[in-house]
Amino acid sequence: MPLEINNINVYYDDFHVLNDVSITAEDGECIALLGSNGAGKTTLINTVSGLNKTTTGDIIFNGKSVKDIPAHEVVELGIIQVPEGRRLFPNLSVRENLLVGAYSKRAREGREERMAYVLDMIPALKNKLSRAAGSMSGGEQQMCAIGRGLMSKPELLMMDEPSLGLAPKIVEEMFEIIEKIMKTGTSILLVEQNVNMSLEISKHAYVLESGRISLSGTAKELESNPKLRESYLGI
Amino acid sequence: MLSQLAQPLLSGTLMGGVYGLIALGLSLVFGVMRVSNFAHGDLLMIAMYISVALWEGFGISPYVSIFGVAIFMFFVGVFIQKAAITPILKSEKERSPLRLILFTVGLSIFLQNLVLMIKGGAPVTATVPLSTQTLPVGDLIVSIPRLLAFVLSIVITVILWFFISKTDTGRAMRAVSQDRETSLLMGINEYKTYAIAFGIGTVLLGLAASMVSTFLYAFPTMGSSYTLRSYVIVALGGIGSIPGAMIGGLVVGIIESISAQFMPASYSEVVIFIIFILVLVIKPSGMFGKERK
Repeated sequence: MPLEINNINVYYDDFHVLNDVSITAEDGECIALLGSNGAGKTTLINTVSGLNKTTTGDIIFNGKSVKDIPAHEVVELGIIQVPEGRRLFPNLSVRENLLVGAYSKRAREGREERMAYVLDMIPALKNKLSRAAGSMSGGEQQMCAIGRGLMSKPELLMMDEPSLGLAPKIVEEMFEIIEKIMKTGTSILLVEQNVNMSLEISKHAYVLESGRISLSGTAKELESNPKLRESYLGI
Repeated sequence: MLSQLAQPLLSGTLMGGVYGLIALGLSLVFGVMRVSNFAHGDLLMIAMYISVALWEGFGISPYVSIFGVAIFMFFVGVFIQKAAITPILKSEKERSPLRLILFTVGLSIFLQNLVLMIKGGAPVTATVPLSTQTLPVGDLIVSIPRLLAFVLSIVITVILWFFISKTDTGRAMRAVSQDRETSLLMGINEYKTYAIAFGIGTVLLGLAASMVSTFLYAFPTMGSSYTLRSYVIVALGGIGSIPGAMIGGLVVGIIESISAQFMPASYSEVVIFIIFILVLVIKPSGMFGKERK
């Protein structure tokens, strides 16, 4: 089991953001993490990335505890995040953004071949390599952010709301890319607001509600569960 | 009139190149970690004293000791970063510039008084055989050590530009300067990058100090005027911009030198600060600076 999150609790000062959250993800599968705004989804993946610290429990990746490892070293284990809002380096070119993605020791070797592979996976980036990342459209930037994540040689790719603010056609294109990535054996933790498409491509799903897991199960079970809409919409 | 201006224009250009090199370190440190280093000029002063001491004590010319001084200054920079600046940055949840400004101002006062205590207040310089050599070019006189300092400054600037824009470490520095948190998600060790940036900043000071120590006097309180001049240059050229720092340096050097023709030399700083204020009002991001969100 590559990722096992056991009973983690995260606080921002006095504010209890994650309350006893547990999640497991298996090799090469896609886990959907659903929930409304402010439920703690981003906090959860930032905790796995090492940007936030949990006070209790443990986060185990490939049999190794990662909860006390600093963020820049978590990357070396293959836990890669594509952050919310893309967070490209705006003044760096697309090519440079991809190269920074391969900055870690694990990804630096053979990065030219890897870049060819990433461009193959996301052909839309091919003729934009010298463009400043900040000058591109939202959809192009999202593709670049996913490409940058792939450059890091992920074993677990955590994507935070990749469809946020994108046109429906681009969203579809992006989900196709995510499916392609899954086929290569990379596990995916998908944080999304787009419930239908996320459940369609994932095997298991979790619903976060005010910092707690309120629902979990296979994607099929959740799809037909009337409670999903309720908790999602916060009714 | 024209021939009257040609000589100061030339001298100002030569000195301006060195100013640009000195300001580059400040620009780099501020660009990468947003730390205002008010001890910048004092670190230049320290490096000049080392250079002079090596000449007076052991007869090692600054042109020979330059690389040794530069390497030494690298470790000085890394030490200051690791012993003080990094712990201060780490201890702050929300980064605010105040404590680091206080630290660097304190460091500046400490360094000035340290030198005053050890060497006294009298100005020192390394008078090497080359110091007084000149090269006549038409009606103009070119000071050879100043020409050397200028040429080396340009060469070092080009090397630094290459380093920042083409190497992995340089790219990581630019990434950290644009988005700190996302850099961590790329596996970049933020504090290591800071230490390298600060180290490079002090290396540039070591190189500049060695070259100017053959024709300028070092004295304990010289630092502040170089710190201030560097801030003007960085504001003029744009924070973090390498060509900006060099061109800003040339502009300041030339203005200083030409205005000294029409008014007492000590007033030329006034002219520079008027320009500084104008830049801040008209184009706060500088000539080559990227607009910040």
